[in-house]
Amino acid sequence: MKKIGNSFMGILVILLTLFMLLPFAYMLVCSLQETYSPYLISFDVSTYTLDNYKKIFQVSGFTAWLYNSLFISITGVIWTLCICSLAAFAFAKKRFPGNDRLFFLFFATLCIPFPATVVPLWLMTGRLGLMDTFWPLILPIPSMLGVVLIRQAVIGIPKEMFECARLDGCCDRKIFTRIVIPVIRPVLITVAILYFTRSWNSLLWPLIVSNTDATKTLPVGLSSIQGINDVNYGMTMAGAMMNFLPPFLVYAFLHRYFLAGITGNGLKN
Amino acid sequence: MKKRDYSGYLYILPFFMVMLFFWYIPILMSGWFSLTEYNALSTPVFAGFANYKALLQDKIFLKSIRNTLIFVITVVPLETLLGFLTAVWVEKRKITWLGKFVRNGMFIPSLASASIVSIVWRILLNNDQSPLAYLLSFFGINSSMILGSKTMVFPALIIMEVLMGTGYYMVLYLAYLVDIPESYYEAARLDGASGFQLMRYITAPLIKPATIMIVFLGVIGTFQSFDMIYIMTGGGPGQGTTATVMLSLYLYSFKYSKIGYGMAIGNLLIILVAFLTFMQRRLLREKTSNLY
Repeated sequence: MKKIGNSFMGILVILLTLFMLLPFAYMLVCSLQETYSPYLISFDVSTYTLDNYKKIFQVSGFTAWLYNSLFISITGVIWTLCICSLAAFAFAKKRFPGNDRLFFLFFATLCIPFPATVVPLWLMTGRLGLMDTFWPLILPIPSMLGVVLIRQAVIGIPKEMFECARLDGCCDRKIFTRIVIPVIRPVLITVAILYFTRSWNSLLWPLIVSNTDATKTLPVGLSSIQGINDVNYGMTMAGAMMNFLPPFLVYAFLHRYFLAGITGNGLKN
Repeated sequence: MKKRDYSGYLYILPFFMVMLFFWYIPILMSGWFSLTEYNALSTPVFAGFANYKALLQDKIFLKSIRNTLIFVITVVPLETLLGFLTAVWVEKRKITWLGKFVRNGMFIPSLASASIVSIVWRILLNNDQSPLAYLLSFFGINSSMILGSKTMVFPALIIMEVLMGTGYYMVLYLAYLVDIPESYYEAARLDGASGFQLMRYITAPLIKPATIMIVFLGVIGTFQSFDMIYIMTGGGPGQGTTATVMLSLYLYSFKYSKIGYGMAIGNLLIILVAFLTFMQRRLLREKTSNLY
């Protein structure tokens, strides 16, 4: 009876996973062929080519979009890690008046849907003359989730470590860079993966503030060519694959550290 | 650490600036816009609470609130439960290739852009020759009819959302599961506990912090999910059958250029989410939780 239950659960879990991967399998198969209807794809492996990928690199602007997206996401992640870890350290280990209240005030921003802030942000960007620059694309990337995750990890660091460091004459700045940062590195990697994926895939805001190839991100660029040559679905899917690849590679290289240590008891004796 | 340490403010300052410029000021501005008549080109004209009054009489908007609530109430428990069960399953097999395949395979939808995955799902559903259509025909369902059918479209959207979102919560659960010492299970097994009892009386209570966090993130995320429904149905079929609050917010702000009206929707949504988050915090909170 127990065996049957176990294997039933197993089949269910595997089926669920296969269902989740179905769109990706379709994307891959379709991107390897030339097809003018999204519904007619061939499963004949001998006809598969990489032509669509070659063609998409020849689309004018494609390499620029790729570079822009990489630049925005990487600097955005570094910016997020810097300011979120500083704030998280203060919220976790420093006593100053209003610590809890400020945290709650920041926390409330998680309830705000991003589109509700887009029009005011667009007006501000225009007023400051920052349209078509990288500033409005990079600066708003950090959000409270990063602080919440990092703070939980900092809370988990035993008090004794800080006391020892203080006795040895460490100042706060040194405690932060020499103790906190190395200990919470897995959480920082987790936050990096989350924010890289998020900023890489964001569409609504880049669509509004970047209009030229100088700042266009990959998703915006891909959506702009979709209207021009939507005849070859293979190429559209090749674009989709190219858009999926960078976050996938980041995850593939760092998944060992992903979510390690977010529970706040990373340091066990 | 005993005395007050004002240097804390200095550490928070950069993050505070981001919060101020990209969240608080815009939200105050949107609060002001919601009291005006504004189309992004002319100057805003003060209109009092006219937008809010119109909203409460807008049948499609009221329907979209109902839809959103149904969507959240079904999706979040489904994702949480499935995430928990699969995480327990994967945790036992974490060193086998099958366990790794499920863990990474389920997370893949979280790495891709929701709009692209939705486009592919739509193609798969509308295609009579796709493997999905073949599978559904066994149950007597014509897959190309789903998105146009008033009765089937909503459950279909719920399933899609669960397929896209569960992996993230599964991986979150997994992070907490690996921290439970094996000795707890051994002791319980010696006392003759069954597999289900282990899960019910040991695993579930010990990862309550993870559940609190997942339900919280799930409620917020599902309320704000937008791309999938926008691409699959755009609120149809018919008059707002699958319209959600996020969809109305998007359509009024960016498609119909009724920004004042759109911002009023946004503010009502914020109040709704904040209220539910607060309720949930009271319901699920325990003393050891350090999420807040």
